[in-house]
Amino acid sequence: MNGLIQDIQYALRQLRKAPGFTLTAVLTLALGIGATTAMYHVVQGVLLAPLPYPAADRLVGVAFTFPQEKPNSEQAGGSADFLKDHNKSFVSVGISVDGTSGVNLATGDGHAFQIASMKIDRGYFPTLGVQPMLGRNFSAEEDHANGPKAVLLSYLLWKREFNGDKNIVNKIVRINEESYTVVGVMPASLEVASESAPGVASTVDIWQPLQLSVKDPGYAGDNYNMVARLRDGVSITQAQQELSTLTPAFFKEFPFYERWTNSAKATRRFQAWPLQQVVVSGAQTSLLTMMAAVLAVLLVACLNLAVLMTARTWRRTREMAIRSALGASRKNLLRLLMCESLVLALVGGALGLILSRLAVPLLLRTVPIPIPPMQSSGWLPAGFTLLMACLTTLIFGLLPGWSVLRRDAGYALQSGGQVGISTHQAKMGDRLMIVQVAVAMVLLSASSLLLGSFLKLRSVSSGVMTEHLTVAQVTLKGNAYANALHTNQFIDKVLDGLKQYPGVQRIAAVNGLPLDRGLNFGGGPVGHLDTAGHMEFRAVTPGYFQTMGIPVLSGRDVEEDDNITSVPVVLISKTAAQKWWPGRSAIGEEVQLGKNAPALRVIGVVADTHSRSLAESPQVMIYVPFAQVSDHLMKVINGWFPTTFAIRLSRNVDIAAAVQRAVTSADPEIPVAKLTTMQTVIDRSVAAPRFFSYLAAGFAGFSLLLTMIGLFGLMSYQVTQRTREIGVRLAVGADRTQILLMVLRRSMLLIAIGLTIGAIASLTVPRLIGSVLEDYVFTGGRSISTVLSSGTIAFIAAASAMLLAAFAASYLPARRAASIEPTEALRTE
Amino acid sequence: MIELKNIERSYKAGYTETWVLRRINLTIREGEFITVMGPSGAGKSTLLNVLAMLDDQWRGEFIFDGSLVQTMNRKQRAELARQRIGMVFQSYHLLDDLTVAENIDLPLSYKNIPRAERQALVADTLDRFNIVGKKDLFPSQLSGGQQQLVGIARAVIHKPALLLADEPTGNLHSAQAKEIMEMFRQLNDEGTTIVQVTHSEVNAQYGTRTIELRDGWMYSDTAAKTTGVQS
Repeated sequence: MNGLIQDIQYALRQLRKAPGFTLTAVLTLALGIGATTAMYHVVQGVLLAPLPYPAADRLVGVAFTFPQEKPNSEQAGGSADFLKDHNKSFVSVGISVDGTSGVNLATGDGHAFQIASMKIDRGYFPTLGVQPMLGRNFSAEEDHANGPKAVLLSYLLWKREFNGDKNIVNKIVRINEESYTVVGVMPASLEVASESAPGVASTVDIWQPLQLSVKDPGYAGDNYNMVARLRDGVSITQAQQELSTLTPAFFKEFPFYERWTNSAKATRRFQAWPLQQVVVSGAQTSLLTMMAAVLAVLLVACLNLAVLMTARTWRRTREMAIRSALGASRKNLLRLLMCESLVLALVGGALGLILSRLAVPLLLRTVPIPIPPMQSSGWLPAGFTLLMACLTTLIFGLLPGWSVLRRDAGYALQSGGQVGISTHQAKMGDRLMIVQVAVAMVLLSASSLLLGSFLKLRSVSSGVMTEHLTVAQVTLKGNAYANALHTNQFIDKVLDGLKQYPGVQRIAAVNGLPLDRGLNFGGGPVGHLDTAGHMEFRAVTPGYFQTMGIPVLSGRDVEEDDNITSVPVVLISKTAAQKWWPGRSAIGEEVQLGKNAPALRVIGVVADTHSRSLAESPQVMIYVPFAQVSDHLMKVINGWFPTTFAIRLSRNVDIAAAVQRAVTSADPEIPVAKLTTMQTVIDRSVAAPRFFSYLAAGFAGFSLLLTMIGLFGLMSYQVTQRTREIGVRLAVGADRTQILLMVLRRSMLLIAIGLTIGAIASLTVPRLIGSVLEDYVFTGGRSISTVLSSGTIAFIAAASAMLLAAFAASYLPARRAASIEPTEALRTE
Repeated sequence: MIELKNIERSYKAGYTETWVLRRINLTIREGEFITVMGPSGAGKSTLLNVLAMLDDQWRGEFIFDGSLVQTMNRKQRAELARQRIGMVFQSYHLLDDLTVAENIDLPLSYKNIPRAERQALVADTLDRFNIVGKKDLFPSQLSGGQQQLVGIARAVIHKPALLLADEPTGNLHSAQAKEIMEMFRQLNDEGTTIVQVTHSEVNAQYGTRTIELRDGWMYSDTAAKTTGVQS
């Protein structure tokens, strides 16, 4: 024990004597271990921790989905109802709407704001095993179509907006201008996150009864999720067997669903997964890939330190020889060497733990992907840090130490401390460097590919002119806006209120902004309807295309005269015109939004825009004047999607207060849910690729910096060790340029080998990046590979960066080698 | 061939300037075999480094085959040395990771000589020094005498006009030393001008002229038949 303490004291003294090395090592380890611990914290909390529900292992997500899909719980209304009625494997089943939606909550003082609502059936919370902390769950009556309006509050909303009123149950709250009875408050432990829009996570503020009914507009689509609790004694395999038998029975009863096929012409089927897998499946690939990336960074950090430690340990060869000659065993020497790396690893690890504590909230705040709620993991990150510290000690401490122990003490002593690098030692340093370069190269390739893909996506034209274009969204839900007249009156009031505002050039309204969500359904030219097809529907006011900067290619724009009394008209996108009437004018043709819907006359063709994502190909889109939308359709679009005001400004003016005033004066209970620029909307649509590319660039940059430090250290030391050799070469005729090139050549050779190995390993990168991006980039059925930039260019960019960095890192040692004075170098005589 | 006029060399250490060569005047004619002697610290090796053009921090006049060395830049001096001078070291200075043949080839590798020609020259040199059988061995596999033989072979492969040897037998026993000195004599007979630094009177006998340095001053020169510090 005394020996160990003495060794640690000696290690501390040695480290104090080399502050540059110590600082580099500690910071490298702190960043490496910190990033790894932070990522592990998230992975452990999200992917590995059990769900916060009683007997969570008995919970499953049940989907009506295509084969080969990731674990999910998607259901159509019909399939969910069918399963609920026919299954025998589940003791209870819960259905919810797929994602949250914004609703307007009005407070007593007439102030209204938007909150996130999730619709669930009355089986949802009992299935999860969660009880309200105040009040009760929804009753059967409340969950029935047109039943009493009830609401469950989240703990946070109850605390924030109702001051934790213990008597809140049975009180009335105003939601979407309607009165709802508060039936209960959910416990604080229930933090539910769900997707409110693609790629945007939000917390649920209230739960409303689902009231699932065949009359729901979304009933036929896959707009629902299903959770179920397995009956006692039934395994998930047995449940799956039952579900497999139910699929053909379902198709027999509802043949419509058998026509839903994917690109591989496969039909859907019932499938159950453990709920844990369903909850994490959206984030799993990204989190595991990020974890792999930080582990790669940690590996680069360790290898880098191993290279530096190897060089440092070589300097101590003579000391080791003397210790050995004085009776130190190999074990004693190894302990001495390991002490130094252990001290570094523990200090670096402690700093890393502090860094990870800061990094986790930052990561969760900035990550644009929906991460499921994290479970507290207590002491685990600290334990993980300790494990990392021990592991790193082994990697960067043992390897260099071992090479010294293999040396012959007698030889080291005889050589009087002027020993050069043995072949074994040189190979050790070189190998470590090569592996480091290879790992860094993989990170660089991934970063380069992600950055290239992001830039490629970013360069895709959205189809709108974003300059000075502001968008304001309102949610028009509830009975008040379930008809066209009231909706149009509201829209007109807001438009009128803003039209005259200084700086407003043009203004128009739309239900379904480009790159946002909007209604879609089947339809097509009269006589050639494709009810299973996919057609994007947008309601617009006159001037919409001009305001957005979308050119009208032929025909005319929507006009004020296009109202409920005039001929129903429609504008179609260029893609729709080319698909439906190739080679001829679409003007005057007619389209139908379903079999029994009235025919709409095509009055214009407009340029394509991207409806949901820059990565998808332009869609078939139709634009109908707001004034001609039927009550039924208005109820549907208002029920599902917000209405957006597009405001083209002539200059940069702050329009927020004016928008709020105009909306409030039109309806005091309607809040402005979102006010932003169109550019921000576009930027948000590429937030995930941008986040991953910046993150990967950060990792790759750090690895590159470490590689430069390592290469500089290795080359500097090798030059020192080869001083005599360089002196001889100069004495026998080498000129200084040749010496410079000799050192650079050696360094470049190591890089070239590392690059080759890294290049082979990088072959898997495009697939990996593709699998990460396909979770967040909606491609509308196109292959994700169309989104990725060229792998070859990414590799060339990565290799160039590495070569440039290697050259920069080697140049100084090479210059030093070239300036060695042969008379000095050979003075050892 | 060489003319040194008032060559001076000093090293600065802090505020102190230590003189190692003082006003050296020396003329070396082609075909001479000069031995430089003197006690340790007399400036022998420094003088050899000046002659080898490895050192360029001296003052004075240095004429090599009519060219003024002091007016040349570093690159020109290196080029001149590469073409005309060979160097033999006391501790051989063979490169451990190169074979005998590769060590001998080293000076040629720094010249623009085609590979085939280089191989022929190396083969000739190996043959001339009777070390063909050792061509693939590494320095650590050779005796001291054999290593020095390789060192000399490396120094003369490019047929230098001037061969400089710094204590060439300092690390060898007498039999090996004799063999090396015979080799120097043979080279001198073939026309190579040699300047050797040695402490050995026996080795000095192989030379045609001996100069002695003391404290950086030229103390004696058998050609000038002078003894005592020149001023």
